[in-house]
Amino acid sequence: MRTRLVERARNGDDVAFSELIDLDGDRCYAIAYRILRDVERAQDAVQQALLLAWRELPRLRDPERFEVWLHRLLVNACYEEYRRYRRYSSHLRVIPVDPPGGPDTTATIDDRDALERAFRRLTPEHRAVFVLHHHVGMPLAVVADVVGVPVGTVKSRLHYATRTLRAALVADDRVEFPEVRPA
Amino acid sequence: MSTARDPNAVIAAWIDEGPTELPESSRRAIVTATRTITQRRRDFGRPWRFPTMNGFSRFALVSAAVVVAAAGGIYLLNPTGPQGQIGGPAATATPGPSPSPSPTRAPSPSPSRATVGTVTFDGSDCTFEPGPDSLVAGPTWFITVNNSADRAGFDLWRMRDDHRFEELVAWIDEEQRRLEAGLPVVGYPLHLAHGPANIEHDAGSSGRLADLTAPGTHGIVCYRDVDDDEGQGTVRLTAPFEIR
Repeated sequence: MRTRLVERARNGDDVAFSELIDLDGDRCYAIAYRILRDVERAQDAVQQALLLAWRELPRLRDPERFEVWLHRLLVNACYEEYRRYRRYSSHLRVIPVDPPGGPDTTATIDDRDALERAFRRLTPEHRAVFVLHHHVGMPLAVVADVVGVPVGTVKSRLHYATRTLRAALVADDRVEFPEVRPA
Repeated sequence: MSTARDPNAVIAAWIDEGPTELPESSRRAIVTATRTITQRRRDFGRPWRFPTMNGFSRFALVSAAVVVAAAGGIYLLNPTGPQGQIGGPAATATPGPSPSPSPTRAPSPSPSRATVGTVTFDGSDCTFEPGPDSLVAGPTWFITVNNSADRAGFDLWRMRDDHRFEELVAWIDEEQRRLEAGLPVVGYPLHLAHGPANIEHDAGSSGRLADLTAPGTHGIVCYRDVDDDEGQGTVRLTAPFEIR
């Protein structure tokens, strides 16, 4: 179904493209939000990626590759959004958004704060790999295809990102439970 | 908080938190904008690159609060086509939006936008001459001059921080080799952070390449835009220049 829509959109059918947006828009937004950690920037990145996809679609040779292609556009849009945001708004700190339905019982507020701070220290390249693999569930080879680096580099980035986040949780635990020394 | 918990489970739960649905207003804006954005030509023969959206257009889209404004911004800020040219026939140009320059002199940019140089393509060489304004990041104009005998395009690229300009030079050389050999081109170069901002215009004409530039090492790619399957496409690259 998607392939047929891509073929129609590639031939200039904007209705088909709007159906593709219905199919892929939510996932694009979820990815962009998790990389950028900001709802407005995520919307901007998605708009940028989807409009570029529309413009460049006639040059996509293989409709079967649409998904990887779109994800690549999206990740690049996130990179660009991140760089611009950092440059023009580096003094701002975005407050994390609680998910609908209240706080998660697994990740406490302290966890979230620690993870947010740690995640924001990661480069967008590290973030993208982490999100595509752990949130979207992409195999490493597909992640490598999307972000355009060897699988070994994907593994390295994933390892670094995971280690950073784990370290943040451990450090947070230490703060929560300081060792009590006898007076 | 328990120290015996599984950090991986906590991280996995955390990364799945957050919004998962594209807001309807965004979706509508995108759908509406697609009706005003002209798709590129199919150009199956030589899709030698895989560009990202013009930064100026993106900037305008982001700033548009309403759908019509967003669509208008995209149209206004995608400087290709007849209005973006100086002289030359317009019959084959993509309908496009650019601030219209004078037919006999270099276009005069808006006061808020710096003109940082002129890039000239003569069919075999692509050269960049810095202009009167300093190369500072922000809203920027590049004057593009097509002195070749064919329709040509100009792309502004910025290198990713972790890559060297020599990699782009090598990539361009490989693309040219493939064009000359009639092989499929490689496509989008992943060592580039941003770009390209793009303009195409006809032989013997000039235009303006607009972008919202960021600091870093840049280069401008000139290419001969060919539609036929005979190929003979040309891809050239300017020397690198830094935008602060």
